Amino acid sequence: MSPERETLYTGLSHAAWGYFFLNFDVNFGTVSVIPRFVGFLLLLSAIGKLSGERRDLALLRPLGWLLAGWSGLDWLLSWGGGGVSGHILFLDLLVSAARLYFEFQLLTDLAAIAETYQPEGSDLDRRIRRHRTEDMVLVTLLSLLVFLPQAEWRDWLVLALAVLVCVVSLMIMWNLFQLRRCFREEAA
Amino acid sequence: MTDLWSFLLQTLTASGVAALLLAVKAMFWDKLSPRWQFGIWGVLALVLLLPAGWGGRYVLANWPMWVEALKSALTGQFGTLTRVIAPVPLPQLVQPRTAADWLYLLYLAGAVALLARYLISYARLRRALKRGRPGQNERVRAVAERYGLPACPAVEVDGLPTAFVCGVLRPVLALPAGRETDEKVILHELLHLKYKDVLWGWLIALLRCLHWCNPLLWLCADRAGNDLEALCDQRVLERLEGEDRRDYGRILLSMADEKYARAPGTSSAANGGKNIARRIQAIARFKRYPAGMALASVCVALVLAFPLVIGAQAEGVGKWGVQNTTVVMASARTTYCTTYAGAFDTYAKALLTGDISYRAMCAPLSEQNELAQAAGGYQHQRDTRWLWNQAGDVRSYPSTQEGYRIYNLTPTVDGGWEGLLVLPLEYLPNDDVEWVGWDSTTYSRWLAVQTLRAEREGDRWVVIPQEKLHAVPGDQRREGNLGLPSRVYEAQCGDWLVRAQWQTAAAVNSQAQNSPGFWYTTSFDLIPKPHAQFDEGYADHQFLATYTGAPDKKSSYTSVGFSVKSIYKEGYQEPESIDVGLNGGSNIRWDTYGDRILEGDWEDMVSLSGSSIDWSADGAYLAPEAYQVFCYLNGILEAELTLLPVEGGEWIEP
Repeated sequence: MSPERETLYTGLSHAAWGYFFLNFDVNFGTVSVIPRFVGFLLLLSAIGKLSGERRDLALLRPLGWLLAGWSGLDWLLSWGGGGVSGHILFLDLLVSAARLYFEFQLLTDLAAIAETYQPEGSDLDRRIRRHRTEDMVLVTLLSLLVFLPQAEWRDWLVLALAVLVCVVSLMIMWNLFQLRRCFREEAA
Repeated sequence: MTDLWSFLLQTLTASGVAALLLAVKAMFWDKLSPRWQFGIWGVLALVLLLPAGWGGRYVLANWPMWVEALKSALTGQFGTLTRVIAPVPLPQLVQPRTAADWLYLLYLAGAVALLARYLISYARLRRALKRGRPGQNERVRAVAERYGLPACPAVEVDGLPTAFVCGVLRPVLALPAGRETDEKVILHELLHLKYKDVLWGWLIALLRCLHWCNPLLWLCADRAGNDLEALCDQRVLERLEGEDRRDYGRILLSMADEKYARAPGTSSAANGGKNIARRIQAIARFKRYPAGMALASVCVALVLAFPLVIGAQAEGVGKWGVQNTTVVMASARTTYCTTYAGAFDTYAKALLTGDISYRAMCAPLSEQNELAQAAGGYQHQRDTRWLWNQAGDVRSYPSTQEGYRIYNLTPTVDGGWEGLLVLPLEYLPNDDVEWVGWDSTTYSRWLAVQTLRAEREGDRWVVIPQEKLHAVPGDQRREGNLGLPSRVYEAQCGDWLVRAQWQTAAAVNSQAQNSPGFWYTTSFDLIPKPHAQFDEGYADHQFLATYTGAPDKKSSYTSVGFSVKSIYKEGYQEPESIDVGLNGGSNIRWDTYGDRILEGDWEDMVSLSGSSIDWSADGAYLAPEAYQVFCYLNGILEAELTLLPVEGGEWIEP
C-alpha cells in the first residue's frame, strides 16, 4: 500500500471508530467507558488524514475541537458525578447545532471520497449519504421529543429512535469499513 | 406589554435569543446558505411576537424570575406577577405615579415617535415617486420576462443614488434619472418584488419600533436587513452564469461608496459599504450547496427553534445556596403550579418542610407580601415552624418520610377542587390525648388533617385552606381508612341496615432515588412538583351490614351476603346475577360480592367486603350515584336494594 493510500486507510478507520465512540455508551457508575470526546478526537484525526483528498474537510476542524473540548469537559466532570450538559441551555443548543452540522458535513465529504474510490458499480457513496440523512433526521427528532410533555408514549418513542440511531450508526461504520477496504484491495 | 416590567421581560427574553442566534450565525457564517442565514431570524421574530413567559415558560434563562426579583427589590412589593398580555405596548389608562410608570410612558412615547418617523419618511418617499417620470418600463418588462419574474411600474426620479422597490400593495420600481440602470440591478429589484421582501422590511421596522431602546435587537435588525440583501444576491447569482456573475460582484463593489437612505417599505441593492463588503464575501463563497444541505439547514433550524419558541417551565424554586429572600420569593412566585394536583402537592410539601417559598408557589398573590415578610424573618427557611403554626394548633411534627394524601378529592362547581389533606404525625398532637388502641377501624396513630380548596388565579393554581389544621386519630397508610370522612350510602333490608362507605385518597408520586449508580435507596421527595398529576392512591368502597331487628330474632340468621354494582351518573348498569360464595371478592368492573357466616354471639355490625381500584383508573375520584345491591340472608335472595347517599351525599365524619 502506498503511503498516501495508507493515510486514507487509517483516516477511514479513525472515522469509523469515531462514530462508534460517538453513538455508543457504556457507563461505569456515572463515568462513560466509551467517552464521546475520544470519538471526536478520532474524527479530528480522520479529518487531518483525509483533508488532502477533500479540502472542505479542513473547515470542520474548529467545530471538531469545540465538540471534543465540550464532551471532554463533560467526561472529566462526570468523575465527580457532574457534567456540563443540561445546565446552560445557551451552550447546549450551540453544541447541538454544531454537532448536527459537523456530522452531516463529515459524512457528505466521506461520501464524496467514496464516489471517487469505490469500485465501478458500487453504490457506497449513495448508501453513506442515505445513512447520513437518516442519522440527521433521527437525531433531530430525538432533540425535539425532549421538549414534548412527559408521557409514556414519548418515552417509548425516544427508546425506539435511540435504537434506530444505533442501527444507523452501525450501518455508517460498516460502510466506512467497506470504503476502507477499497484502498487495501486496490493496493493488493 | 402594559408596564415597564412586562416590556423588560419581553425585551430580555428576545435579547437572550438574539445573543444565541448571533453566536450560531458566527459559527455557521461560511457554512450555511444565505437562505438559512436570513431564515433563522424567523425564530427571533417568533419570539418577539409571542408574549414572553406564556404558560409560565421562559426561554434560555429564567427571565420572569429575574424581572420579578428586580421589581420586588426596587418596589418592595411581592404581591404582583408580571405578565405579557400582548407583544406590543398597550397604553396605561391610569395616571403615572411611580418612576416605573413614567419610564414606561417614555418607552411608549419613543415607540410611537419612531413609528411616526418611519411612516412620515415613507409617505414623503411615495410623494417623491409620484413626481417621478415613467421610464425604462420596456427594459424592466424585458428583464422580468427573461427570468420569469413579476414586473411593476418603473419611474425615474432625479437625485436617486440607486434603484429600489417601494411599496407592498402598489409597488413601484424607482430608478435613478438620467442614466440607464444595469439589468442585473433591475433583476435584483424584481427578485425583491417577487419574494415580497419589502414586507419583511416593514416587519423589521415594526420590531425596531417595539424595542427601540434595545441596542442588541437593533444590531439584529441591521443584520437581518443585510442577510435579506445577501439572500437576494444569492437568488440573482442562481439566475446568472459565468462573466455575468463577476459583473454582478463588480456592480455591488461600485455601490460600496454610494450614499444610501433606507426607508421602511423599500428594498435596495445598496445598503452601505460595510454591508456590501460582507455580501461580496458571501458571493465569493457562492456555490450550489450539496444535495441534502436544505434538509440539514432545516434540521439545525428546528433544533434551535423548538426550545427557543416553546421554552422551558420552571420546575423548582431556585435556592443556589443563598437565602436572598427577594430572589427566592421571586423564584417561588414565578414557579407557579399549573395543575391542581401540583398545587396540593406543593402545599403539602410546604407544611412538611416548613419552607415558606413552597407555600408562595401555591399561595394567592394577595398573601405573597405576608409570606415574604415571614420568610425574611428567618435566616434558614427550612427550619421555620412558622407555616405549621399558621396552619393550625397541632403541636406535633409531621412525618416527612411518610408523605401525604389528599382524601375525597371532589370537583367544585366553580372549576376548583376540594380535598382533605392528611399528614401522619410523629408524636402525640397535644398533651391531653392518648394513644388510641387498634380497634380495626381506627389505628394507633395520629394524623393532621385540613380541608383545602384548589382554585385558579389566572394561570396559577392556588390552594386556600378551608379550616385550621387539626389532629385526628387514624392511619393514612391503610386503604379504606374509615377513621376519616367517607361518603355513606344506606338502605334497609328487613332487619338489616346495609351501608356502603366510599372514599378516595390521592398523591403525586414523590419517590426519589438517593444515589445514582447500581445501588440506590428511595425516599419521599420533599421537592414540590408544581406541574404534576395525581398518579398514586386509590378509590375504595367498604360494605357493612348492621342488625337492627329484635334481639331474640338474631339467632335465626346464619349468614348475610350480597352482590353489588356501582351506578354512575352517565348510565344505569344492571347488576349481573352473581352466585354468593363463602369468600368475598370483586371483579374488574368494581362489582363486589361477599358472604359472612354468622356463628355464636356475633356483633350487630358485620363487615361484609370491600374493594379498591388504583388512582390511575379513569375518573377514579368520581363517587357512584348509588349502589345496586342483591341482599342475601341465610343464603336466600331477600331483596334487591338501591343504596342512596345519606346527608345529601356529603362527606360524613366517622
